[in-house]
Amino acid sequence: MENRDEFGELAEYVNKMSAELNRLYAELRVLNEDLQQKVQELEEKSQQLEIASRHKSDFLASVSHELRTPMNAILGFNEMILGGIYGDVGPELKGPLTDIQDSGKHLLRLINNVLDLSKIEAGLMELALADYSVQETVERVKNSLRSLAEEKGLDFVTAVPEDVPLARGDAGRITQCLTNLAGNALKFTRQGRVEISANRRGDALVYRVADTGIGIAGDQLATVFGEFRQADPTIATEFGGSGLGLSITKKFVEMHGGRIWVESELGKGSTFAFEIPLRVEGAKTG
Amino acid sequence: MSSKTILYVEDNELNRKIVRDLLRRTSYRLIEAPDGEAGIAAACEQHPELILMDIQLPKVSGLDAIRALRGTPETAETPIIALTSFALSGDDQKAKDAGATAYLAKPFSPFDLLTMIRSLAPEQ
Repeated sequence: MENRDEFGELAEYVNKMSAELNRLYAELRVLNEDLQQKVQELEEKSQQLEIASRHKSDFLASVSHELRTPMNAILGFNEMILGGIYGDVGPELKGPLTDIQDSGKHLLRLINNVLDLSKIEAGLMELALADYSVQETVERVKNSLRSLAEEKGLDFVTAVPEDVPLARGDAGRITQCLTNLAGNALKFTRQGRVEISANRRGDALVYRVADTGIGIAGDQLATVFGEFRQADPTIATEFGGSGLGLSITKKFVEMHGGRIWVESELGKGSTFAFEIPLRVEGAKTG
Repeated sequence: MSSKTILYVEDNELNRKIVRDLLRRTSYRLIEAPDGEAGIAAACEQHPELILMDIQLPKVSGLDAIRALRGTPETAETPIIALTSFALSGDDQKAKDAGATAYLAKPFSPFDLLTMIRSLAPEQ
């Protein structure tokens, strides 16, 4: 009879579907167990990564401390000898002792640069964000480099409009960037002037360091922020330096959410500039 | 006119020698402590006019020692110079927040330290 066939077909169909469903449920259970296992493995890996990262961070902090401690002794005692703490220093000793002091300070800068770069590349560098005064920051940089400018007979000026408002960022690192740029400007300028300026551009701050120095050749401009380059290898001997400073400056600028660039003409001079938000709220870890 | 006492809390012997030598020809009397606990004890016993506190100390951290000193009536007002690590960002602010009067990043110029000492606790 027709009805019984239809029911039969329907029943067979339902049975087939039911079996299929059971099969799918079983597959799903297996996949779920697989997934659980993978999630657990990922959690373990994540914990291991955290531990490794913390070890790296502790290692860097410890290396940093260990490298700086003897530098503190070398620079501290030498400065005190030069300052007459242990008695008068004859004129014939002043020269060599000053050379030691300068070399020591140079070594310390290199150590600081290498440690900074290591920290940045390990993804462990963080910005310490706080309100800061642009005027005070630029003045501080100028004061720290003033004697170098005087030695070379260069004009060294700052230009920050009074109405640039209170900014927010990592003043320590921004000072480091400006000191690096201004220090380079003074280093690579034989005569003329170096100017540090800062101007507001809407929500942003543009810092500029302009010099009348030897300039950078057009085809070298693109790589000037690279880690191991100094535009011309022969310049390295005359002016010294490992080229790490610019690379670090670029990274700190980018961590503030900004960008850095250079305009230069060989033989005329260079202007290094970076633009960062006037007030940095969140920061990227670098 | 009595001389002022300065307490220097620092675990590294060389660093202590630097400050010892620095203060040789001044009228300041220097007492030294090799860690936070000894530092707090010395501060409470000897009432220095100024405390130099290294931030990186074993056992009790420099920041904790500063907080403890600020929480103790005898030392709550004593000027404290925190000697902070250049490597750790935010160290300076943490020192201020813990109650340090001023801070100086290591490695520091001994003469910079002397200037700061003289401004916070003038020799008479």
